[in-house]
Amino acid sequence: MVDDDKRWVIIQTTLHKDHLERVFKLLRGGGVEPLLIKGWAAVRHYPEGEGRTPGDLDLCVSPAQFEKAIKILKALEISIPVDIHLGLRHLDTLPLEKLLERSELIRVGESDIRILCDEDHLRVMAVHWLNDGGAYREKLKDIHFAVEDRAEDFDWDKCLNAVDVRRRRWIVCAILLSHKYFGTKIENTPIAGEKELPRWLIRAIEKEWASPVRLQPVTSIFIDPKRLWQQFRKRVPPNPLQATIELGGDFDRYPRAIYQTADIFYRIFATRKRLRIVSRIRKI
Amino acid sequence: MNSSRNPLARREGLVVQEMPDEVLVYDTSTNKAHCLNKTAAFVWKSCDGSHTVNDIAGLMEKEFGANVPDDLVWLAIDQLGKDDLLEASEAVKTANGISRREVIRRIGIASVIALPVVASLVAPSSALAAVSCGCVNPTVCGAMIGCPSLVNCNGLGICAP
Repeated sequence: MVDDDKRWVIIQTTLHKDHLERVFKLLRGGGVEPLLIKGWAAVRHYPEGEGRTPGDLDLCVSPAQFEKAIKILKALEISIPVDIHLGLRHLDTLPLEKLLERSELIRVGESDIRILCDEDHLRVMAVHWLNDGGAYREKLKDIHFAVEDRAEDFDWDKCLNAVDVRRRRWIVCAILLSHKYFGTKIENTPIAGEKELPRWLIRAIEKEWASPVRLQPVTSIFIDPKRLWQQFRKRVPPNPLQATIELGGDFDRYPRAIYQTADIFYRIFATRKRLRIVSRIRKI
Repeated sequence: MNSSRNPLARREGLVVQEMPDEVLVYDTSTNKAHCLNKTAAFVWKSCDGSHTVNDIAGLMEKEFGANVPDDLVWLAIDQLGKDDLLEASEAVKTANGISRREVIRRIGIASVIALPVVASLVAPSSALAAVSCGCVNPTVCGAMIGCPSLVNCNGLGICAP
């Protein structure tokens, strides 16, 4: 007998797949080829009974198709939670054309859904998780199951060496964290011979997991002074993982203070950039 | 025979997942999830507009190999109707008000068939963290359970006031 949490996951997964089919059909009908990241692309690696709710649909489209995609989604008459990404932005450094070339199609219901190849997806999930400040312990399992469920011909070189050494180290650290907390098997992989995790990284994520307040977009709570203040306090000093990733820093053993200080200024520019994108979306 | 008096299961706006012993149903118009036990699921699937309540009781007798009084089917229809899983019909209106206690009294505690149960599922807290609250229009916010607003997509592209 399954419990209510598992039932919820099962029905949400069915709903997610139904949404995927509808949105892909709709976007393709309008000449847009989306790429699914995370969500079902991650959950499909989970063993039966271990699943998690896939959440909203994270779809990535090329800058050339972005406006068209927004127009199509704005005309949607049903509520489908879609998070549309303008390219992969900070999540990867490979050109989108190359990622699309290497992408795969998986069958969901009666549709073919485009996803990144396993090697690229593992990289993107790792950076995404770190850039969330490592706050979501349960989502580290996406990385755990992606590694555990990898195909025999999984190409570690394609995964790790397609990006520069700094980014490579981020991915390695995310997998090492998954190994530390969920026992991900890394024997016979290039990860086994890597340097140990920096101490600041372990301290930072354990602090994050112990915190009752999770990082939330400030824009979503600006009318609630109490929660706004909580989020402000949470951001001072900035999360060390997020600060390092945002500034493209090294995951070395040194303290993070310099990244955390610089990140305060970076955030101001990042917010301006986000506002410009939002304003563009509103005008479409 | 298709009569407006016969119960008819709603299909529009529902996402259905069959399980070995139950059926999970997600209502996209209300964003509510329901779990139908085997008995309720059988009744729901039999509500095709051509079967009367008595027909459905007969079908259940064949399926479960036990005596099934009409009251048991009425109880299921009453619950399914309350959860908006049936199209409005005479049958749904007639069923309104049947109590479980009354049905148990009539069919006896020793019934070999489980009473129909339509239970609502509540989102676990872990699921709430799975949405990013990003939006391009207000309609998507209805499905963003856990976001500050279910009806408004604010100027920053977030489901919030």
